[in-house]
Amino acid sequence: MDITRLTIKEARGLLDNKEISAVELTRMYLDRINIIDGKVESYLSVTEDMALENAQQAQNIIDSGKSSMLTGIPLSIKDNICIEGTKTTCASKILEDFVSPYTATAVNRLLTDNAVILGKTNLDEFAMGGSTENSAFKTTKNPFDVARVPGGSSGGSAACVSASLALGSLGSDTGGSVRQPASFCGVVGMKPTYGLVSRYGLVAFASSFDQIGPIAKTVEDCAIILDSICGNDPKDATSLKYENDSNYSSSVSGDIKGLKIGLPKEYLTEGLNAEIKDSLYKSIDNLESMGAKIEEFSMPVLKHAVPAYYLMSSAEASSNLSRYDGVKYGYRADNCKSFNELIGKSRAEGFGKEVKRRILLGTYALASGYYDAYYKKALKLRTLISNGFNEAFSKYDVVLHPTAPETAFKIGQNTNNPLTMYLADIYTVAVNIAGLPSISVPCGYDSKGLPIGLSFTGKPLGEKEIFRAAANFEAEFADKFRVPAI
Amino acid sequence: MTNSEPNDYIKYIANLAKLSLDDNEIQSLADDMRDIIGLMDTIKNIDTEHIDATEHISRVTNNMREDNPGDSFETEKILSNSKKTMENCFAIPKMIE
Repeated sequence: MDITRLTIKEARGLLDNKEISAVELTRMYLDRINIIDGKVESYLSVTEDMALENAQQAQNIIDSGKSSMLTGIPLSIKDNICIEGTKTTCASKILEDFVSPYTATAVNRLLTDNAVILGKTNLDEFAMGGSTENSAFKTTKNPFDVARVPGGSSGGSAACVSASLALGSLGSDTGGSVRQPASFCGVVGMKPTYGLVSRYGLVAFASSFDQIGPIAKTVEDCAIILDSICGNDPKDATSLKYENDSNYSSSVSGDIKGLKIGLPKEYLTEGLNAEIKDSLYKSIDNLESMGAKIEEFSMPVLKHAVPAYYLMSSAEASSNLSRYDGVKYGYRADNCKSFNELIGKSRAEGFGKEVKRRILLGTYALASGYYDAYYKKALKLRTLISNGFNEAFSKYDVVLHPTAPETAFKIGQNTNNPLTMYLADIYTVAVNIAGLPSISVPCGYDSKGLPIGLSFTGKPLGEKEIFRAAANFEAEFADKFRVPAI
Repeated sequence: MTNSEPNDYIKYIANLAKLSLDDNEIQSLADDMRDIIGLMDTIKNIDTEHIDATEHISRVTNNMREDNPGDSFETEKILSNSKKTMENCFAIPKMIE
């Protein structure tokens, strides 16, 4: 068995045919983490005891013939998603010692299906960033080139799947944080429709944008994970009451003859790297040869998506992160003589620089005298962006676009230039502003051998269309798909 | 950030956000924020006069449920993440002399 090419679907077959036990499979991944993760640094904590316990229980279920798709499948979880009794640090000094008192609904659903949790993965502090360099604890490396970033903020999750240190992972996507690292690490990352997956137990960054999403080696594997974690949850008031009439994993079959795909012109500007553009057009040719109809369309408001996103998400973050006061949980500054000193110092010493920038930007956007010019203006742009997508989806089944304007960059290259980092989110943030589903799949490699991602975005609850389109594309790309030589 | 004393403004915002930053950090963040606010300023002149604001794209309204009492968290468990507690409460520095 070649672990570097193993998928959840294939592992399911091996487990059910008793070719491998759940404990053996889990042990294989734990051993590989021991040998390889020193180079990738994708995990913040490995929950070995829990994993082996999960695996033994899973084997009992398999032996009783009652396994579901994820029974005994080793997965990892981004470290901003809570698992009771384990640390959830959000890669922040302020939560360095925080032990979750409860388990997130999405993780509970994986555990109900008897999946195996290997550990918690690295991220940009509080999921704020696009390179995982903003982690207070580790710099995760891209498995395709360890001198480069894995993307972010779910960089640990993407790198660990890419390096075959888990069969799949849960990330969170506020402005592209699942799709962009998946693209940088040559794997598949999917952001569901806002409200499809419960946010209960996901540490809040920007509540009207945040969604938990799967990262895996294939489109079908992402659909299998989504089947487990989706669905209404009374503990999340924004959770949709949507009854899915069939599994997402069954939506990957079927061809795409006649599928109408729109390509926004505003995403084909000079900021797009030439090799990525070339790969995009080759992908378009492939999709057309499969019978899809592709045409360009214009949505001028998309060029304002980045500032609108940063104003709204930072405003929400500044409010959400006000809970870190050094009192109830988290880092507490020493020797403070007053309550205000305790809060101010605990926050100043506990938060990293990027988190402080976002809190300042959000506070500024909400401050008296600036609210209308910044925050409210951004909310109006949110209306225009949502309306623009509604109009596009009246003509097209799926919107196609690059996932990121560049491939993975060198570690340290952009750390002193936050603006460059923000602008690189150009193709992903509009999806979160409008609450749409989107999936990034590998579509090529640049001249340095670095992966390029292609995104399929759907209408609200249009998961099945994007899974089907992405799976068809993936099947055509299969013989070109590479795994990193880590 | 058009203020003639930009660092004063950062100090004002940091105070609102309850971040006790030292002068070096204020200076460094002020430099970053100047560029960042510059990007945000690009939306200022877009005409949105007759456009409604969208606070939330959630497709859920008035998520109602029966008011049934459920289990709460154990006090001990909730207090266990606090660095300082006293008599089953979170402890903070004395506020009233």
